[in-house]
Amino acid sequence: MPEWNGKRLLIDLDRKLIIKEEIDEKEQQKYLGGRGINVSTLLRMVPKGIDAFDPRNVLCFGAGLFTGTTVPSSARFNVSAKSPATGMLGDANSGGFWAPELKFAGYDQVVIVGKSKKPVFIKIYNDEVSLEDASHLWGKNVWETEQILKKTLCDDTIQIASIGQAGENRVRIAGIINNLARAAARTGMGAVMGSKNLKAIVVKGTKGVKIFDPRRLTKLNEKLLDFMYQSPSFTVRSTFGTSFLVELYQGLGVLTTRNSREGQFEGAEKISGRNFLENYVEKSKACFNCPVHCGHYFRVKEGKLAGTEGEGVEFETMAALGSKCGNDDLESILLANNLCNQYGLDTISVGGVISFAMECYENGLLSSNDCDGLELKWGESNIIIQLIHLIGRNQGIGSLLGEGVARASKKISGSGRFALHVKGLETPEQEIRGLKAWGLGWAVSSRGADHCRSFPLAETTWKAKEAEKFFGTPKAADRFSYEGKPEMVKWYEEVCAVGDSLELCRIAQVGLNMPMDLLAEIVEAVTGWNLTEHDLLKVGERIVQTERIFNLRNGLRPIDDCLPERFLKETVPNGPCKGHRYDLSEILDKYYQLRGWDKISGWPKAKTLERLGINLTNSKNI
Amino acid sequence: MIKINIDAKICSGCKTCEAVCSLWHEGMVNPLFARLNIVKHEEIGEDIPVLCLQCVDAPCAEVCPQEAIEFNKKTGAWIVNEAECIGCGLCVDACNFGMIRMNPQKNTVFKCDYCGGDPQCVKHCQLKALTTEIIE
Repeated sequence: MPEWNGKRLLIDLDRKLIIKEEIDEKEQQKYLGGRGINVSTLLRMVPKGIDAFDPRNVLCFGAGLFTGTTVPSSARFNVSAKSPATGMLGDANSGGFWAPELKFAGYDQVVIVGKSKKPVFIKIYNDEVSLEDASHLWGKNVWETEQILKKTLCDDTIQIASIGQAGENRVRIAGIINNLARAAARTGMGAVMGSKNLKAIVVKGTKGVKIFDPRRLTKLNEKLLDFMYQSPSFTVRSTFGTSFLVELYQGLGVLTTRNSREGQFEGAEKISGRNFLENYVEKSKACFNCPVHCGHYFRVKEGKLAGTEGEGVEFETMAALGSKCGNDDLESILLANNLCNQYGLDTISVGGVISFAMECYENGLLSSNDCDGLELKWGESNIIIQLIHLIGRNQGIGSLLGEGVARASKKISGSGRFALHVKGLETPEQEIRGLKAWGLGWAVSSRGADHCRSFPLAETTWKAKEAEKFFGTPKAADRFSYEGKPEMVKWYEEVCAVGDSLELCRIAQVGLNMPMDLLAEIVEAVTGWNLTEHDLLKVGERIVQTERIFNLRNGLRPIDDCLPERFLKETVPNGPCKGHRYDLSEILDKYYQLRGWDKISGWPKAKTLERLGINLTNSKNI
Repeated sequence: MIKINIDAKICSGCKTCEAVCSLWHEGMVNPLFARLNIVKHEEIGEDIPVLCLQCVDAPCAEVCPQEAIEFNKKTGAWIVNEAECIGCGLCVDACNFGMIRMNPQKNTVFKCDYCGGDPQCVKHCQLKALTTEIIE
């Protein structure tokens, strides 16, 4: 028996059943935890062809293999279900303190099926697990919910993952929030939670996490920390967090501007990490056991928005609600960030739908009559704030935008070319015409347009020689070249899948160069399993292929592995990427070859599945 | 002798100190058994490290009927002699800061012992919100 938890909590909200079961050790070795265990569970349990809001949809909360141990930066968890945004795999990831608490309570994963008749929250206090009435919480935002729960349960130290009004209203771009400002935001997991009448999961754990070889782990952690501290990015990552990317992207001409029409923003300096740090940040904030402390506590001290305070703000949010909407008012971005956290909304998708609506307005496809009297002009920060309220409350134009750009564009005729999404998920904040590997990553990602599935930093940070050694061509280090990019994306996807299953933070794991062979040793120290670097990468490949199968069974076709028309047909009009567009055809074929996917059907070969030990017989999803 | 100084203003609230403390003392990660705590008030962004002050006239030691809490002159920490502790809990009530607590499984109390002179919490505090100072 392994020394750590390895337990799953199965909760049926229809029948009010709570079951505790051991996770099969073989399944854990094959999928590790977090994202991996979640997709393995979904493939087994989600009936094929159901709607995402069907009570039979399965909502999984998975902590990682490393979560709750002393391995640095491993405090994350994945929330997975069939997505109401994409109709395929829904999967989002958050940090903070919730997941370690779940491990301290003795569980690796919580799996929720069914739908409660009345609003409930789940209370997990070690072995005592119960469903509690949440009617008094329904209609409250995330911040109010956390406050009320801490007060009524008489404990400030409980950890809470909850939805705001957006999730309750089944807004398809709603996320799940913990620790007030940590968001499992993407792919509408908050809406799935709302559709189950589940308001929150409250956790308190005092059982602790056992470790197979604590002394060895302590030594290996020191080695791992050395790697992180020696990384050239450590200083900037720990000082600025992701906010430094505004200036960096502006310099590279890849800062998404006005619905990704342009690659540079005239107001970049005003929304930069430098301005944020100098004028608003009070101190660094961190997730559990993380030496990178990339988060910040900010406060607006004077002016119209004085008193706005909270934790954040990430680059993706700064760009999504800033440059992408033509907005150079940083204080409004701070407020918008808080509002999204309170309503429980995905800031990337919110920025995506607002910038989409603004471009529709500019082109006469939406009038102020359609928009509750609002004039959706680029850069109007007041309008952005009002739209967030409308989206969160599912009112007026907000109820159309909350459906996401893919659905909204079907109702606004002629707006298809402004709808930037892949597989139904709004695009994040990279100008991919000047970052070819990131573009391929979006096109093939298992959860739709997303920067975290592959995170190919090598494209901009590696030297040509290094890139040649690893990806077969020095051009892999050229961000405008397509060469070597399929190889690069494939490798990064597997590395990231491993990271999401150990639940390491992407910034720490990939951004600060955690070596895979060392991670394999750490797996051994934590669990006692004997796994090599090669085995770990195989787990990564297995997860990518399993997610692919889940998607294929839920209607994915090869033509869905694509990019929005804008990037394929229009060239970037300004900055260092001027004149570039994206040509997907060639590298997509190559990527399919590397993955062993059939060009017509998109399916992996039976041989590949056999090699990876993916068993499809025991699955509801056939 | 050493003393641990706290700078709450720069503490990121990561609780690494709690994790490494419990692993060092109990062989498992469990903040319940950590010898120090980070008190968090997330709604105002506050993180306050709370740890044993190693009082000059330590009330915990004074009330102990077994005289099981002894001062270590080398490290400057009050140390619980587990073999002598009878689990009466008088010390737990005597400490105003909640920094000596009962282990219900062992029925003995536990508190910060400066890890024998090399406190793990200080060693792993990346922002140096916790630092040691050598005192006479």
